[in-house]
Amino acid sequence: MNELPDPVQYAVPAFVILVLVEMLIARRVDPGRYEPKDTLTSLLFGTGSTVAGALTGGAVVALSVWLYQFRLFDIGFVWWAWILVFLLDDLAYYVFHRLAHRVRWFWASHVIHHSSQHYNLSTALRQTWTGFFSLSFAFSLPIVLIGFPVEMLLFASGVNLIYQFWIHTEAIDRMPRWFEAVFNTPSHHRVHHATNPRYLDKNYAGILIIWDRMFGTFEAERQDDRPRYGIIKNLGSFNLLWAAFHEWIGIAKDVATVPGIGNKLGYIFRPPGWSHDGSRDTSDTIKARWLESEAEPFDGEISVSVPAKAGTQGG
Amino acid sequence: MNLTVLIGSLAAVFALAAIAWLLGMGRTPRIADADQAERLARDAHSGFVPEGAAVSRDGKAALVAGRDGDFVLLREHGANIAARVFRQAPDARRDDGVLMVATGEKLFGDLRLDLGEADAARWSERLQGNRSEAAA
Repeated sequence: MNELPDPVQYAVPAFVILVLVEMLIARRVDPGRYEPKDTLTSLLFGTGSTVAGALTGGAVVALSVWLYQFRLFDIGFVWWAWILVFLLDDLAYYVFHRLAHRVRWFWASHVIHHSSQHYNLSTALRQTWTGFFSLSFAFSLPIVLIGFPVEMLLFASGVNLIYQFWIHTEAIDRMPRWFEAVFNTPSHHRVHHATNPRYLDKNYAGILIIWDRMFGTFEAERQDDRPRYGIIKNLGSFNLLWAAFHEWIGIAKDVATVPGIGNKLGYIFRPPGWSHDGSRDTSDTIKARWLESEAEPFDGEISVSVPAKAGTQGG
Repeated sequence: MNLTVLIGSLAAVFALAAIAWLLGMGRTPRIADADQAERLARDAHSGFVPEGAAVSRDGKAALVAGRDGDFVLLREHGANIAARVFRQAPDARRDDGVLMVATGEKLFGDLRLDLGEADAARWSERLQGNRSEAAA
């Protein structure tokens, strides 16, 4: 087995320094961009996720190595394989990330990353503790089955994770046009973290924004619709455990109380905010109401249906 | 991950949070008036058509009534405002000039609206009327 370094391990000191630098910039520009309790929560999620990763990572690697014996091709460490593995890993990330917003089971894990109402570099480190439980690793396994070495894939995934750190900032407005066209940027990712109806379920990209452009999920950031960050039903609490498990608890409660197997499965696998009686909001119903209200003057006669309580679908 | 790395990580985490606090990061959000409360409510609940707002005199919370009998509760959370949406009037009790609005969520907490005697009475009546109407 080829031994490749874990790029994330080397990047951590840079993460710490860059958070500090961004904080100093924010102090001058807008001190509201950081909030000490929010920062602490985000960073503790980051630390917790590395612990969770250390506990479960071995099982994921073992499964990948076991699957590798059933590979379709013997690709090895040839130069073009590096390019392909980065592309495929980024595509797999896009697929995972899109489902993480459209299937409540995956969202229950991913919601943690969106649960801050701030958007800064500490938000990038606000990572889930339950990724293994929601089977997020499964999306990369086909790449192993094609025949790309497991170490190569792990390295590419690490680089992908590192890339996504710097795009979690309001300190950078826009990158050069050519860059914005091809790569995921702070502007594109601000859209992804926003709860404005226009921006919901958009810009799922990891490194390359081309996937969103190809699959119809791209939305450009607009000056007249500044992103509002967080989730539809913001937590209103800095309680770490509640933030980590609230959606899992919500699933458990819904499944336990709703009648019928179809409804129970719906609460697990349908989009976040789905309810058997239509009493909650999904991102689709939020967008539909927004479009309806946009189509008519604000003080006109608008007919809207209002749900009993909002779901927790994020941006 | 070994224990030394974990301890180092935790030290860095608490150091960064302490620096954020020492730098005076974050700001206490204040809801200035009914217009701002209504705008925040529209942002929090798409398609919401506000019809009046009760803003606490300390600017920490607000209750916004909607045209369709729905309500949006707003309260400060860190440097931001967090909201809750209700299809019907939420439960509330009045204590002189203060209206306590129940959210039913332990961690979100109830809303304390310091409105003054007259406004508290008016909004308490409005919520009660809305509940009676919904029950009928």
